[in-house]
Amino acid sequence: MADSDGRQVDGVNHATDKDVKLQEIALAKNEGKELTKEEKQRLRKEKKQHKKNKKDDKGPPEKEKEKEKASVPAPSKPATQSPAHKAAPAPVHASESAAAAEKPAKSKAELRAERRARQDSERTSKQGKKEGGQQSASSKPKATPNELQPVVKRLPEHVQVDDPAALKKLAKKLERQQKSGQGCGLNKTGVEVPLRSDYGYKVSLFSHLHQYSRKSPPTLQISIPATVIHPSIVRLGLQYSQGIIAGSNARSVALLHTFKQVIQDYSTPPNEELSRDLVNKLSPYISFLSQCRPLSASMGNAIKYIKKEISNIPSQCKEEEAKGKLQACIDSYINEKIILASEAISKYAIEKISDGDVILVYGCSSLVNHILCKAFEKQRKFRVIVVDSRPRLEGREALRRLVKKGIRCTYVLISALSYILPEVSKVFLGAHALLANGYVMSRVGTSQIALVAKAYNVPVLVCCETYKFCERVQTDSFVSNELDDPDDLIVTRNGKSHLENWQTVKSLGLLNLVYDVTPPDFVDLVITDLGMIPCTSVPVVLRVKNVDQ
Amino acid sequence: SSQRDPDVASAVAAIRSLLEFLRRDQSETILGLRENMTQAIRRLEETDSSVAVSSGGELFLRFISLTSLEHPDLSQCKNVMIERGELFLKKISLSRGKVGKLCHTFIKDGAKILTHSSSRVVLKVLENAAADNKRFTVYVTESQPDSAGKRMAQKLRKLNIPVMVVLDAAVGYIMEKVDLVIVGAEGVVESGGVINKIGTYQMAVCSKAHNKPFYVVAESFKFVRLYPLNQQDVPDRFKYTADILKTVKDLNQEHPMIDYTPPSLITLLFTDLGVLTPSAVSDELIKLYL
Repeated sequence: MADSDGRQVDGVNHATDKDVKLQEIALAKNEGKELTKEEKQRLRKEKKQHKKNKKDDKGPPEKEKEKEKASVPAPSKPATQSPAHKAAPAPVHASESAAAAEKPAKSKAELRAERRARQDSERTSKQGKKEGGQQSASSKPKATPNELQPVVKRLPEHVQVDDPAALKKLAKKLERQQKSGQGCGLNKTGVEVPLRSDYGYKVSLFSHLHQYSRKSPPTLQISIPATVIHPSIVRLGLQYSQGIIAGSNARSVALLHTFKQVIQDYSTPPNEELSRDLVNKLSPYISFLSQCRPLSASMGNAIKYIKKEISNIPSQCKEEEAKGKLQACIDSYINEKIILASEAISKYAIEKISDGDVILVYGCSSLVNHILCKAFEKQRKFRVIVVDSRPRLEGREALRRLVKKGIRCTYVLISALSYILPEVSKVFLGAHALLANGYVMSRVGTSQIALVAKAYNVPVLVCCETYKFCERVQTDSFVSNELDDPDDLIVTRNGKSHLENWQTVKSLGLLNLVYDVTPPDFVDLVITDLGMIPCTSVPVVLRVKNVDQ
Repeated sequence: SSQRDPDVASAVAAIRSLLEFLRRDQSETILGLRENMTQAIRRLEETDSSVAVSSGGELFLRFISLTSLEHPDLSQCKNVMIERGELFLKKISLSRGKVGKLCHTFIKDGAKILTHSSSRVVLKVLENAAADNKRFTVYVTESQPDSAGKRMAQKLRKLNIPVMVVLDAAVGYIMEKVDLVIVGAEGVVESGGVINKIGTYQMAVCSKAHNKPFYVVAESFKFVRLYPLNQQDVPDRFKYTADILKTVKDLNQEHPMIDYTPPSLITLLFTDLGVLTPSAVSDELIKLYL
């Protein structure tokens, strides 16, 4: 295609800039869609030219190095140029050529990628020189994962794993964060905020999501001692990625406690304000944690709250006082939104449990377990059926907790659901998040339970604290989900594991989904700390909450 | 008092008496006042155990108790409360008219309407529609055990509206002939469902099966903070009349007077707050109560 050729040529030889610009303007006139892209490119080029002229001596040797790298993988994968910012025009053009092949789907992502790339390049050029060693971290083709951006309008990068242009954003961002932690030092050995690579063959419908292996934790690449990332964050990340801390309440509480530790150990550098610097310090930690395991909606809300509190610290506040205040804020958040909320929810839920009830629960939700224990203490006569599913088998933990209390329980696997449902009088489900259109996002298998319960006319009650309500809208489980380690699905029975060599079979993919989405028609009642509401009233609660804040 | 004035909703009568009680109350503290009010509401519920009285009472309490936050002085507070109580009473007496005005436009010329038992709000709606020179026929169910439907038919005949009384069991039979179904409500619950005279749920299921619109007309003071999941979940104190609750031991032998219609079967609700879908009821309730 004439476009891509022209641009690649341009990337190699900046002397013909003006000609190419004219070319591009002509092209843009033919393709109205790309007019803004052209303008931005032009602006960016001009700026780079300007900066280049200032730092001319270091320019040429770098360029040659990158040209070499660019030429080698160019024929097969033009999209994956090294993301060094000096060669930014080249990869941008190259990625554009890849995008040109899939223009309609990728044009928006491209625009954003370019805007980001431009901002990144401006920022990094201000901070200092980029070293060659950094390229080793991020030059992995195709499999580099993405960053979760907490901006509502843009498509989050963690669902753009198959978009090469979006991959560069993450690489650049992580390098930038690494940079900010080091100052002007060189990083030769390890990467501080590592990029985790995807593992195994991904089912095509979910190729836009990450799939990590538990055997390669992100901490392998971190140097010791970690200078950018606080050690308790490293520990937390490891706990997340290995599944030691699981469940959205547990993860949020652990996160908040770790942040308390971080704030405790934090000291404001000279000439910096706590309110601004601390937020910047937290960003690489959050990127690291989302590399270990994608953030949940509840964690996202907690982080938003902390960032808001930090930036609201008045500048004349002394450091010790500010730190104390922040720690108190975090404590009160945990107390209000999680502990007291679960008390309130139990109070409402107990009204709905009558004597002689047979209650069905799925998996292990800390909130539902709490409700059942409280109801049992209040002398309600009921029995529980715990439904469980592979590979996590979380129901066993719930079963253990309930039996310890003395509640009569039955344990079945999810395949026996339609057999057991005629006996059931109510279904209690926990939620990972409640979306703005009333859909319930929860552990995979929940929507199946809700569907079958509806078919048997059994009321389905979802229990969820308000801090898990999120502004996102989703109607299916594909768009935004999490893929767990596919090796978990391998079963060893009688010493034989049939799926052991699944990677060798080209047409075989193992899919280990973590979440699914339940439509509001299947849910009869949502119990929150504000009261009992129908599933369709979630946006009202969100509105009321925003007004309060 | 509701027996004396049949045109007034029992909830309105309840609120009127509560207001009177407030005027005569002798308590010294605001807390004492609230205590007395809650006691009074409980007494009222004992005499007339309808959902409307319960909801009306609670709303009245809410409406006036917010004043206690603003005026710490008791006597001043009491005066403001009485003033607000009267305002509330006036507002709700007008609500039936508002609902009537909203709903009658949904009745087209030549329509055949099915209704259940005797509802004053539905009567007002039909009255407005007739005054608008629309021609329509009404089918009313008998609504046993108290034959309230026959009383409704009499009232309609006085308005010169052609009316036919059908058996409760004939709802399925008549459904294919009618164009729409309009019923009143004793209470509107948080999920957007309604509690009404027994037989309403049946009618709703039938109309869903025939794809006929099922409209509910209710004033806003009937919104109640209940959330039943199914018929069993409706509290016993609403299902049976107060006398039966006091005298009979085994309630399983008694016939309940009301049933619960879930929101999935209701097309629209006409209230003095406007025309609402069942999911919007919860929004309104959150606004009223939170």
